[in-house]
Amino acid sequence: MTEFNLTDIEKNTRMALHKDGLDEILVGLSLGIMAVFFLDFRLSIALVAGCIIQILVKPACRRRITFPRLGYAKLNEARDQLTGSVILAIAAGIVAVGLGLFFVSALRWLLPPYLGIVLAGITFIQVRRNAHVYDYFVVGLFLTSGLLGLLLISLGCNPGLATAVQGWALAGLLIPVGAVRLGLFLRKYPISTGEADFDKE
Amino acid sequence: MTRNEIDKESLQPLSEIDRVIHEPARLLILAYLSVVESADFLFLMNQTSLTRGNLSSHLSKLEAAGYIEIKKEFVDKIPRTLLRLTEKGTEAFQVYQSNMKQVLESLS
Repeated sequence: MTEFNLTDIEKNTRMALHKDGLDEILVGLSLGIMAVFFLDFRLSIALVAGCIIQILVKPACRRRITFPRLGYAKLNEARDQLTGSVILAIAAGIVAVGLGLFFVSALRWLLPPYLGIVLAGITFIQVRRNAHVYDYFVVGLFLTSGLLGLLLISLGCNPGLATAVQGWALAGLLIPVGAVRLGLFLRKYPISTGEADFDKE
Repeated sequence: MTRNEIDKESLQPLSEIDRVIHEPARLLILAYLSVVESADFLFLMNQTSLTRGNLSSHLSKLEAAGYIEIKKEFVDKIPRTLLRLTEKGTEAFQVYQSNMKQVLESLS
């Protein structure tokens, strides 16, 4: 059964649920908003807003835009729960280190490469699950953004501002890419009127 | 054991191939349902590229065999058919995979 591989089918299913461009648009939006926090730490509401976009807005958008067009599929719970717990633990560690870097001014210059590496790492895990060439470009983009931040710092820019610029630059690139993917998705999958439903014979 | 007896034994799984699953479209449907917890009709239609009538017909056969469960519900006043593999279906799919593997190995 070389031509008929269940792993490929699982990858296809995962990829199908993420080809709507919403990931890029909403991650870009979150990064753009969260970047404000690095300018002034009193604006921590920006971090909350960025998280809300990922936790509440993304599923709502999928319900309104993706599922009526592409259909709905729920991936296996057991695997996702395990993955979810591991991701949650790692995410808590990543945020703690990130905040540590932000509040220790001597280490603040490490923020842009740290952000770039973390985002690239998260995307790289997705690449391993989805094996989609496109995701490698996003990994490269995140790593490059870390270098951009370092470059700005080496040119005398404040590390907080450099990190914010990094976030805005990523938002400026990701949102248009996502918008194009969303446009293509909407064109390829017109909304289903309910006619495409099971008809018992 | 004669050569003839060995051949018969090695091809035994061939006679146990489940004909309900062996049809390519139904095999594809079961393969997709085996990697998700549940999926709706539209998702399967898009992924398998089967037409509405064709998919409906295959789903009816799989449901009659007790391999899948079909549940109708309304989301925003639009009917949605949720499909999932039953325990019997999961088991049958695994047996089918194992039988096919044995058959292909014995033929190579």
